[in-house]
Amino acid sequence: MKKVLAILLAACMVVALFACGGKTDPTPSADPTPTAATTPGGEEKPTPGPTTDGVPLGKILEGDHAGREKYKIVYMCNTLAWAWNAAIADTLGKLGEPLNYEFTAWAANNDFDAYLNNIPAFANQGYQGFVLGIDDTLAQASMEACLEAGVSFVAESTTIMDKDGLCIWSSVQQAQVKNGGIAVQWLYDHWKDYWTDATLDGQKVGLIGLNYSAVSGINERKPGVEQKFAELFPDGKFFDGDLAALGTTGFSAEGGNQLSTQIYSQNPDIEKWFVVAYVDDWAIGATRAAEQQNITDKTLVVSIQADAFLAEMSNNYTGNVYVAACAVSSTEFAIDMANYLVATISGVATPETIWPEWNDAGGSYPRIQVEGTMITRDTYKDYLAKQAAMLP
Amino acid sequence: MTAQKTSKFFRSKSFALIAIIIVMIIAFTLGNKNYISAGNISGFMTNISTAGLLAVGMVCLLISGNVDLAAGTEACMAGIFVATILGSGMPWPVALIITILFGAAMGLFNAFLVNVLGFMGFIATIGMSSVYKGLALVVSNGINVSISNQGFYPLGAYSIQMGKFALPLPFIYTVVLFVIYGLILKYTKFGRSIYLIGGNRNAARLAGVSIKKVSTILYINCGAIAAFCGAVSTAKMNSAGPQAISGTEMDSIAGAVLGGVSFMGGSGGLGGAFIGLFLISAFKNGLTAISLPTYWQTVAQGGILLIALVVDYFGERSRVSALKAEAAQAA
Repeated sequence: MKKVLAILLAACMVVALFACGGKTDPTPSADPTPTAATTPGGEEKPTPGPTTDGVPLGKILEGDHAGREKYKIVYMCNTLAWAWNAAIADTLGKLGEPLNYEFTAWAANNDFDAYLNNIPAFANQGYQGFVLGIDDTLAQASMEACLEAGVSFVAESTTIMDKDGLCIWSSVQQAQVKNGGIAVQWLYDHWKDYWTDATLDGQKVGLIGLNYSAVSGINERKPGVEQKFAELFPDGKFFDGDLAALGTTGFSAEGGNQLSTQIYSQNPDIEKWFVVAYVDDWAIGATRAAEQQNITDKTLVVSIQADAFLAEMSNNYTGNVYVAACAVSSTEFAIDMANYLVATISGVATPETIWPEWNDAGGSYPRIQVEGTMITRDTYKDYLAKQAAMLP
Repeated sequence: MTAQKTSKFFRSKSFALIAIIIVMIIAFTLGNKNYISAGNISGFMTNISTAGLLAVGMVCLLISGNVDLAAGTEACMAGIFVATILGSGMPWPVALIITILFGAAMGLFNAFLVNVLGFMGFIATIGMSSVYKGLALVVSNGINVSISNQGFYPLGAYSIQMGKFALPLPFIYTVVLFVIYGLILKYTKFGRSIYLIGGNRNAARLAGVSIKKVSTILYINCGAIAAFCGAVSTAKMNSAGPQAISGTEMDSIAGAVLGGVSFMGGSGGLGGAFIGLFLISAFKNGLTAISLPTYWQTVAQGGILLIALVVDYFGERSRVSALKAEAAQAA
């Protein structure tokens, strides 16, 4: 009896774990314009249209997809508990129908050995396209595993580089530095809309950058925020709120709340607080901390990425603390990556020929950088409508 | 008698930890005078509450020789659960009670794995932790679940204002539970049976204590408190995230063990656990106050645990020596 029950429980656990790797529900995201407007160096680029291979950015690849075999595509990330990853997985799943592919999302949950081992395992199961949503530390090893397995792959939010810093594979990522700067610029341009009677004493202005330095894709937003803040508020005080200090528990709204609470209360000399959360969930924590510390009249919170902001807005948030978010389109991201995989699997393009205008100088592979758009209570509905229009 | 008690206190684990805490507070205050400001103390009290609430159920389990490594994910799951049922329009007091019952059910399932199927608590609850984490993701779709019921927010966010100082409600829950469970452990038959089964299972069995029954009650209790913790945290954030609280149980366990609760069971108490937890949380808070670089903060957090353990080790040695000397004198 015990053995039977044990087997049943084990089976339940396996089923539950597989269920976790499944699809997720619709998540808000993007601006439909296939922007991606800067190069890694920050140089402006024209809005890309169809390339020489005819593979568009920001809109679904046209063609007779139904007339061919169904491809199998997998999104391999570290965790699906991040809103961003969940949104990517969700949109990639939705694109399976128009682009005729079967989709699975899989999360390593910090088991990096499993991540590498599962690349050939998925390839053996017939998966032809891989979206690698993994940190820099595993990027090269993952690339080698994919090359060895002979599959098409694209890196999500990570640049795969060689030891000399040259980009050696295609990727779609956020314009991390620029988006950080956009968020701070917005605060500079709009603080008067919220603090109508205030004059800012530069020395008594503080900006908390809620970061998680152990994840390079997030940490890359810090220089954009810090530099822009130093430029716009030269006397202001920058607080590096690094949630990595709280360990794994730091990567949550609760973590953002704990660290913001500490920084607010340990620096009562600061008269006006700006908070830029490099991930949207942490903005919720910083907002609640401001409410709980009774400093709502002197705190403005914005975030990079907007899912949490959209959730607050759709939940009728009426406060004036969490006021805006730099929305980076997960839909645009997912469309670019899905197009890339379908085009390279079908032979319409190769990693070397697709989107050459996005190659680094002297490089052979594109590095798409998706730029964010600031959204507020007044503009988020338009943003959602545009995003919805991107998908069939 | 009083002199004896005083001498015993000075030789106790708690005294060593309190001494470390005092030195630490002085040092951090020298680094940043706002470390002992009303605002920071209030914020500290809010922050310690999550690990503190989890510690209450965990300490009882540890003393009995059991452990629930799923407590953090149970709290997380309960947070998602309460946010979801509140979304259906249910009044928050009803939702809170149902959530606590849901937590008790999670605890009951853990107890089933340990007491009926005979799995080790350590392994069984690691497995369940993964299941709850996965279920939290499935239910939430990997994104935060926001709460529109504004009546629920004060449960985690309300503070009693006393001049400049605000006493946060979650801290009051924590202290009240620590006191109630401390009294149960110390002064009731059930409390003594927890120590007995943790200290010597065979002796407990021979004394007529139902080990399975006590263990089941403790797992249910731990699950219910974890669910309450999850609900309070969700109220505080006005939203529930699929990553919230997970991992906090390790802080609770570290604080408890530092405060004298044996991982093998049979010894320790909630008072010591609170002091241990206080030390860890106050230290983390202080590191932010003095703006120590992040990665050094991680090193320092491990360092303070080691220092406390070393101080405790020498304290324990001196206690054993004193006991041996007393025994020799008596002989």
